[in-house]
Amino acid sequence: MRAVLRRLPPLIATLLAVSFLTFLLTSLLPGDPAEQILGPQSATPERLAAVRAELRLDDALPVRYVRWLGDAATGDLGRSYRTNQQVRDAIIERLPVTVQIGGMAIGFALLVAVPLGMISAYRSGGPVDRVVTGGSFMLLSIPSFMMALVLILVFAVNLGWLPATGWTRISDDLGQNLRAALLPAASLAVGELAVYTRLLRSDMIGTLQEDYIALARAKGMPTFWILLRHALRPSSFSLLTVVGLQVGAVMTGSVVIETLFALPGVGRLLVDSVYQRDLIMVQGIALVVAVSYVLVNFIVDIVYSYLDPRIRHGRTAART
Amino acid sequence: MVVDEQAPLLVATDVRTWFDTPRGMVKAVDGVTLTVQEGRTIGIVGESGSGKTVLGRSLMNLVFSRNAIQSGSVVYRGVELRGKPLREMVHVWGMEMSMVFQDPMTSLNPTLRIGEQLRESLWYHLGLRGQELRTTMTTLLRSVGIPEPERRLKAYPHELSGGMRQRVTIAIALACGPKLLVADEPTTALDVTVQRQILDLLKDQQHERHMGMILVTHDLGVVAGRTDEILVMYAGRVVERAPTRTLFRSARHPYTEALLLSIPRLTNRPHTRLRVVAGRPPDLVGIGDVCAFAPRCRNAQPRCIEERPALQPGGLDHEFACFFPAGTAEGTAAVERNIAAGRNAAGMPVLPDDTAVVAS
Amino acid sequence: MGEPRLEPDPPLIEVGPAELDDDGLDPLRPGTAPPARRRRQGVLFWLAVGWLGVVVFCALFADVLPVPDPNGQNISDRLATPSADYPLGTDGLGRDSMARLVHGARVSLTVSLTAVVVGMSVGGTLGMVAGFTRGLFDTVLMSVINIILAFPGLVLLLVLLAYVGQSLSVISLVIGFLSIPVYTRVARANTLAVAQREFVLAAHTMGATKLRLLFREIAPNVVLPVMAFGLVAMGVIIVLEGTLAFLGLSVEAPAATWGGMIAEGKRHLHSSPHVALIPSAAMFLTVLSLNFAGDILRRRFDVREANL
Repeated sequence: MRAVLRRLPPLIATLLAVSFLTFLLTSLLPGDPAEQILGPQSATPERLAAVRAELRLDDALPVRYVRWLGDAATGDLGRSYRTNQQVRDAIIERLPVTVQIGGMAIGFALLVAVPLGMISAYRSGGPVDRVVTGGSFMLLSIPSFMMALVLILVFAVNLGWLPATGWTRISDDLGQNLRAALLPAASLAVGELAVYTRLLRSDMIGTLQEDYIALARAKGMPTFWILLRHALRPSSFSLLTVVGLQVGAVMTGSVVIETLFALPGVGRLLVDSVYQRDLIMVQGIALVVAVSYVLVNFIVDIVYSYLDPRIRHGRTAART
Repeated sequence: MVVDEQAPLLVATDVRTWFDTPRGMVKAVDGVTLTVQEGRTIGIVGESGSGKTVLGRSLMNLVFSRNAIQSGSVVYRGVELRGKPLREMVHVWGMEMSMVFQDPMTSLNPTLRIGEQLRESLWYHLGLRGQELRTTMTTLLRSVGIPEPERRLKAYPHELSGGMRQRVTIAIALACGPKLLVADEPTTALDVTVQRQILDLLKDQQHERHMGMILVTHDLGVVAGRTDEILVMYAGRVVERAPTRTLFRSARHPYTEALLLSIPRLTNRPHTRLRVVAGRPPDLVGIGDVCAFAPRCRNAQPRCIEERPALQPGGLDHEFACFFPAGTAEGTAAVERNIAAGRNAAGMPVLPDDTAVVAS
Repeated sequence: MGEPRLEPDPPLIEVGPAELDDDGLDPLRPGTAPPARRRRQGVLFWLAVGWLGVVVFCALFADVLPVPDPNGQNISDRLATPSADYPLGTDGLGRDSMARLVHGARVSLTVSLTAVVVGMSVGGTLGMVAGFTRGLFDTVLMSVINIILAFPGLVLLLVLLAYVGQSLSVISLVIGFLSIPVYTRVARANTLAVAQREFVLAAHTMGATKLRLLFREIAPNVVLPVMAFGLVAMGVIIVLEGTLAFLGLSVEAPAATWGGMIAEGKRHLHSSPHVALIPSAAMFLTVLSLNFAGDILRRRFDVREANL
């Protein structure tokens, strides 16, 4: 608990800074913000005046920021002038899709990366390792949209097993939902997989050199036991940290993937808003994304320090 | 595994462990032969780089380097260990032979509790469960001198002191009742005051369980009262082997002699200059078929840098590998020749005896 | 004295575990790679460099190369498979894929090169100064950097593009600007490591001023790893630009970009997959080569590469 409290001040500071930066973006605009927000078509003088009044654009920057922050904190991210929808509602509607795809992607990636990483670390230098290392290096060079296209080509176009576009909500039909989610999640997973495998492999190679592994051997413990129980645990901590950091990459990836597969997620919403220059919406999404990223890593940090005994008792480690 | 109860515990014959590295062939262990009987303790003494640690691991068949070239035979109670597949060795380690490592801070997994690490071999090899398992563990911990064992089981390694940690590793090593224990520098990483306790503990356990023990160390003081026999290692080779008393009383190999002479004594006058063994530890690559110690030996003669001396018997159960051993006529003559010439056959300066032996 | 040390014939890395420790004791792990593998790595390295050379050549001489107009449409010949007339086929509007590929190389390289140069020079300098002077500047700078890095890249990029519009120069500069933080971190990490080395200390003791120390001792040793990192970064930016182009947010159509070609090809995936696959292959090979070359150079030069 003390660990959490200790980390709160920097977290709050970061959140404030992040939100300020996000807010600042609107103020960077050349020209009249009201005009930008409404868009060229709707920019009649009356509506411009209305927007200026509603958003109180004539107030000083700090004042606007605080007001905006206050609204955001209570959940009001404003209303889009293009779609006339509450930003908050738009995001909440689409969040489950993005979270599902991202979660599935990370899940797939871990499921494959952990055994692959372990085996290539254990038999490093051997044929399996070389294939895995070379393979993950290549995968790292494939952008997710490229992977998606290849997957679509194979599974949707040629084999016809899975749909190339479209989405079904879980509440409507679980089976169809999974079928729709499979290719997008797989496209994202492939990139993640490469990162996790490389990391786990390199970390575990280091771990396997430790004395306590030799001791476990000298105790007569079988190989799988040593790998799973002794070697995986210390290495899993770094993996956890990287997963947290990669959430950002997953968020980035979902922007493209959702657009490609025509999924109603937050990423696609962002892209569409950018196309339409819907600045209020863009600002709201940017805030949500940035805050989530910071929070996710904050939670990972806490969980990490809770799980890893070396950190948990950091102060006592110095005693010999 | 079917063993021969009558056979000696461990018979190692011409064990060699070489490592093929980019720099060349590192001959870490180059032809070592020894025998361990039940209830007896063998001390293996040498500097860092003498190959003693690799020897310890080779004897346990614990060398897995891909570029390791191993030869020779290691027979445990009549069963050849070399060439045994991993799945069979898994039942030898822990149950028949076991190892205590040098640094308990690194040999215990920092992310697992003590209890978890202790329980593993008991669970896997002996099939203990539940209450019986718990009782065995607490008894084990108590027998190695750890008070309040129940509490310690839940602790993590870094929460214990160094001496306590080493006791835990000893407990782990003894858990399944092995017959042979290899202790690799078990006290080097500990405070001096704790060292003795640990050594005594090992001795007691050995007696109780009637185990054979191999004690690997660089410290002659450690082996002095606690071993039956001592092997002195240099550059991967055994240069002298003798019962402990004999070694301390009449060492024959110049290296052993130098080691013994370098021990500071309480009875020395103040400001007595410490004697050291001149020169540096050898590079284990490319020594060749010569005497490895010649570059640092006061006795070295031309023959020493042309031939490799083999272990030859001299005295009761006493072997040494030297052409001009200390304490013999040839040896004394050799030293005098070198003093007269001012250098030994390998070019090392040799000064008249006494304190002027300074590292170059 | 401050010269970066280069062995005469450096061995290229083995993609394997770290060096054997002196004892040679690896209870569970084998040793280093045999020489044959190192030679193979050398071949691959030069292959990668070769491909990159081809790409650069295309980018530089796109206009003078004997390829048809990348925007010239021959509707009757649309979606042609590779043949003598069209070495790499045509796209949905009958435009020659080879020509578009060559011109697309120009876009990709311009964006990535500009971005990397901007990012490296600004970020590298900032990082070096921060790592060298420490103190308030360092603390403040790193806090700001960490905050900027709290934004997932593409999101920030999209947001900025929404506000500032699309054009080659704008995109290059924006990406360059956004990549400054990463270079700052790399440069700073390397500076911290180098500044502790003996030759720096020695020069300092001999009375070198701080500025001189920075330029003559530290900079040469930091520049190399930062540049090696820059190579890898170029690959990332090519992907980034490709992604933008794919989304239609890069340089305006009908300009040829690899990402745009892929997007266009997506529409014809079921009938003529080659339209999408060919630019994909080009992008993949380029990024792979950059990653590979950058990785090798990074291992040779980077003082603290594990800490990125």
